[in-house]
Amino acid sequence: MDTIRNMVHRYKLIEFQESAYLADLDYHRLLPVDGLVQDVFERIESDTEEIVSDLADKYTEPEIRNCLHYLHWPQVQSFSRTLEAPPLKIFAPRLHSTHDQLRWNTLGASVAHIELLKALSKYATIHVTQEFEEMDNMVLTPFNIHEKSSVYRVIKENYDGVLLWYLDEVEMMSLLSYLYVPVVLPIYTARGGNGRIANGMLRWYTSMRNFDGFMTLSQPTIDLYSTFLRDTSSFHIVPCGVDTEFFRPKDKEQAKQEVAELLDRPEITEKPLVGYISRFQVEKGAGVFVDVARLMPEVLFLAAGSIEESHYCDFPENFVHIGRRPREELPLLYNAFDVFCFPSIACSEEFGLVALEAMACGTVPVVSSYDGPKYVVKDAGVVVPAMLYDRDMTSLGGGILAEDFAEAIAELLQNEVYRHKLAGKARQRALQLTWDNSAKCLLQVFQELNVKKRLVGQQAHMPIGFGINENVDGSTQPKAMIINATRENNMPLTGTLYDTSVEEGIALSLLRNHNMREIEVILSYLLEDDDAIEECLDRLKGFTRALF
Amino acid sequence: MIQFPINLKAHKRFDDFGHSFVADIEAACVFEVNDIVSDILDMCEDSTTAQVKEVLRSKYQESEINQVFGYLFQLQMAGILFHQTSVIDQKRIAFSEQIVVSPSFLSRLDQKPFLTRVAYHHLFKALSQKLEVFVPISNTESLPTKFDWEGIIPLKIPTESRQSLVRYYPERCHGMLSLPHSTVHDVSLAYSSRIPTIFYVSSAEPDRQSILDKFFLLRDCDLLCVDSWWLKDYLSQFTADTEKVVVLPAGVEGDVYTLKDAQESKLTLAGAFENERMKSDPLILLFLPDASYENRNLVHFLARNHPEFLFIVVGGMNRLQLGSQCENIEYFQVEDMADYQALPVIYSAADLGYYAAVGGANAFYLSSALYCGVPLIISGEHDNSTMKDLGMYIQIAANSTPAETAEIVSKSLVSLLVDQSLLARYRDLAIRKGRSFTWESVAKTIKNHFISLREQLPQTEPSLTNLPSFFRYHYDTIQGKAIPAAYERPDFMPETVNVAIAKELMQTHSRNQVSVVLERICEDSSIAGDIRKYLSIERKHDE
Repeated sequence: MDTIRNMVHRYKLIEFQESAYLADLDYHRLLPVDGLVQDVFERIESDTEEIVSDLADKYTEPEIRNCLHYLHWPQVQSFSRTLEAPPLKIFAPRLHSTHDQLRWNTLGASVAHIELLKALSKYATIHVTQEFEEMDNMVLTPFNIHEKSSVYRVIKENYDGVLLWYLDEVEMMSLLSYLYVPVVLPIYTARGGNGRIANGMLRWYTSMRNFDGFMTLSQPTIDLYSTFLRDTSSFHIVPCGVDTEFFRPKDKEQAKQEVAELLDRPEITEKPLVGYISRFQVEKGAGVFVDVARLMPEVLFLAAGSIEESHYCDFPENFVHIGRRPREELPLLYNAFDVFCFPSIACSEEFGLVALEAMACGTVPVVSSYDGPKYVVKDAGVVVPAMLYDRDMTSLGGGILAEDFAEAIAELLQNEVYRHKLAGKARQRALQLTWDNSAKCLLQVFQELNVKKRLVGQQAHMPIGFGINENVDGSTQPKAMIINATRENNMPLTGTLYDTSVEEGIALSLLRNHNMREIEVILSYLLEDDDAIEECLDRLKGFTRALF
Repeated sequence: MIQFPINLKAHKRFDDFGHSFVADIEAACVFEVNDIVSDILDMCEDSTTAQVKEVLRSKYQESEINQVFGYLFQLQMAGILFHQTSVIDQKRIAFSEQIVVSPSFLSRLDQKPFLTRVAYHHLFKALSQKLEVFVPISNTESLPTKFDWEGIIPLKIPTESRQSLVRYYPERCHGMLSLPHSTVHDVSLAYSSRIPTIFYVSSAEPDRQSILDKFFLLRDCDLLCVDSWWLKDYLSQFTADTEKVVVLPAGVEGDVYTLKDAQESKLTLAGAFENERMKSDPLILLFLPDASYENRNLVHFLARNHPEFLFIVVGGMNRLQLGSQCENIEYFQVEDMADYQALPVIYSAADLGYYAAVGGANAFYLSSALYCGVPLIISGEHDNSTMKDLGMYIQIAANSTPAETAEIVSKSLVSLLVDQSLLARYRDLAIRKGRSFTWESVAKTIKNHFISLREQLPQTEPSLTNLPSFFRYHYDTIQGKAIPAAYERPDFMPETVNVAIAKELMQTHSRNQVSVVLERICEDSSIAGDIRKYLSIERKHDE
């Protein structure tokens, strides 16, 4: 930088208790002033090189330049066009770097989130904290969760909602302690990682407030969690979408020809073509796909996606793996396939974006009856029954037989009328699941959560005591007592002391410093019976809501 | 909600560029303030939240004020601006010597037993010498008639204050005294008013559960005074920690309960009861709590076993309840002032007394009998060293039959009556000990306790000194289940749920209460005991 004269923020030097500070009025920081900062600041009107040379006797060049750099923190930059201000303002922070560029991105979650933000930016002002491609309608807002001035800026913006990226970013939990704004956490993978994902979700679950929520991609995720959580009202389905303009049907023969030329594989136009586009991994059914190829030597099987060198082994002759392809080639590939095969058995498969992309191109998908893909395809493809495990087996959530897949594929290839009918349905289904619809769905979630937020006010608490009842026969029974008094010196009930169970007393007492979800956990520990837990939770909710 | 007043220690306010700013030195944050925030900052160190809002309402809309407070609360939670969680320490005001008596004693005062009303009167009189004692009466209430109000100042509560009675007390008085035979409503009043409270309870109160509840619900700033040692023994059955239970024996009115000549007294009694035997036969007083089957039979057994003695059953039951025609039994109940003034004559005439120190026994009789020098055989269910100093103490198991009890008591009676020197020693002991049972000493003790309780001011908001644990499910991949788990902050180290619950309750509840919880939630008592020991060690470190 040649000069920071025009870029420096408004600064004010202040003194407090014999120390000097530099108040950055634009960036809301407070910088302790030492000799270096003072000397640099006194010369702030000069050119950078002049400052460096002027102070060269006292400080090193890196020191001076670092100080200048720090004084000149970026202004808030905006990429937004001149649009009418949309009604909602959403903060979408990200702590860790985005993965590969979108063009080469094979992580479905990453692709999905970026696409969702892009679609959302048409309906809301989105503030992001990291740059990525195609973020025309978004505002770049630098954010450091550990810096108070950064935190202050977030509070000051008065957002209508926060959309996080991944539940792994546990530092983001601190937002819940001070930001009175609905926070939505997407669940792109529901389980896996040897319990890491489920435990991450559970940690968020008990930290979240009543007006926060999870965004799931499909109903099976909620069904899964309902087996060990009581309150699934915070889970909202926002399915992924697909760009139906980018992924659209083309003439299949034409597509095959183009692909054959592109890959220099003339056999693509000569045989029925079954496709697979995903990471070539066990969880994604790579092994099953190869086995299906072995069972159907008369059909050509083509796989695309990232693959480890070591996985190139003993493929049958009718199997081709073409490696990772750029995103812009995917519509062509999908169109070239007669059938799209997605035998994923990953326990983290919440949606199956690739199946939807194939459907958008009018290609019939064959998927396993496992969680997300089943939900996406419905009757617009073929769902092959899978063995579903109650517990994950490594990163597998179930098992499928190559024979079953082969049978389904064979039927499709043999019955052209059936295949075309399903292809039409597939396209129609895809048209319902656009990113635009996803964005609107998510907006509605934020609107609902903002309404819910209105109900969350100052909660009255009554003191709770614990004691013993002495029965007539001399036996004793422990109890809790609700003491009719609140923090406001108020006695809202007519009576004085109300006896209740010790468990309920513990819950009421701990509610002062814990939310209802933590209380749910505590009651699960204290009470063995599910019905008793439910009843107790209902009583607590009713009682605490009645108090004012 | 932000609680004012709050100390803005590390904050600097300044103006520049046409705006007002605040720099939070500790948060290293500076931000612009608008007019509302500026007004709040001007007031927040010296006013309560309610007071600040009241002033703001004259300048701004309610919605604006609420919005700003919501915004400031977020800042506080983020550790910016009002990030000190402590409030300005309440000034340790010198004890103003003003206390209030909880109004529940007035409830059906006229119907309460005579002795209870007399005790109230003397207690108030004695307290009034040491403290300014207020009895809350509303403007529209008339004073109960069967009560001697001489020397007592009823505190007339304005009607509007009566509705906010709980706020009225701390503004006017430094402590509340809940009298014997008061209801548990006093607990609610104490918690709501947030003033130190002494609960004075009597073993003669019929509702023992109420005493038990008051005992468990004591806060650090409260105290439970019991009028008998056996009541303290009773409470110690439920917990070992009776630190907050103080025995304050009932007082005796020294002007009335004076020692009289024994022979003259016997003659007087003989005339009053029209029983010539009273002039010469050994006169034994029986102090029994009630007319239960066991007590009635005990009287019968004693009377039949010792036809040579004359027994007077004092209090507890009447002839009708006993249903006996034994010639050597008389009855005396204190039901009015004449009876009350006649009691010292009975004491002076008595040779010996038997006092059953069990639940329901009226402690006034013990105090007054000792005061008047009646040598006593005292029986109790527990080994009690203090009561051993008052007379001949005999321990009788709770499930003893009347015959067994009568046998033990008989032996003691005979042993004392045949040994005059021993009897004289117990008489001297009674006089020596009894002289301390005065209402003046009760009042002085109460005052001293109020002064020391002021050191334990109730918190405006029960707050935690340690971070609360975090509770969540832990997904167990082997079982495929979500298991409840607890994690200790700030490092989220796993801990057992039991311990986490108990640790948090320890910060806002007494040890006795936490013990009750542990006994309930632990699988067995040994685990509860281990956790109690663990927490006791921790608490010592905190202290």
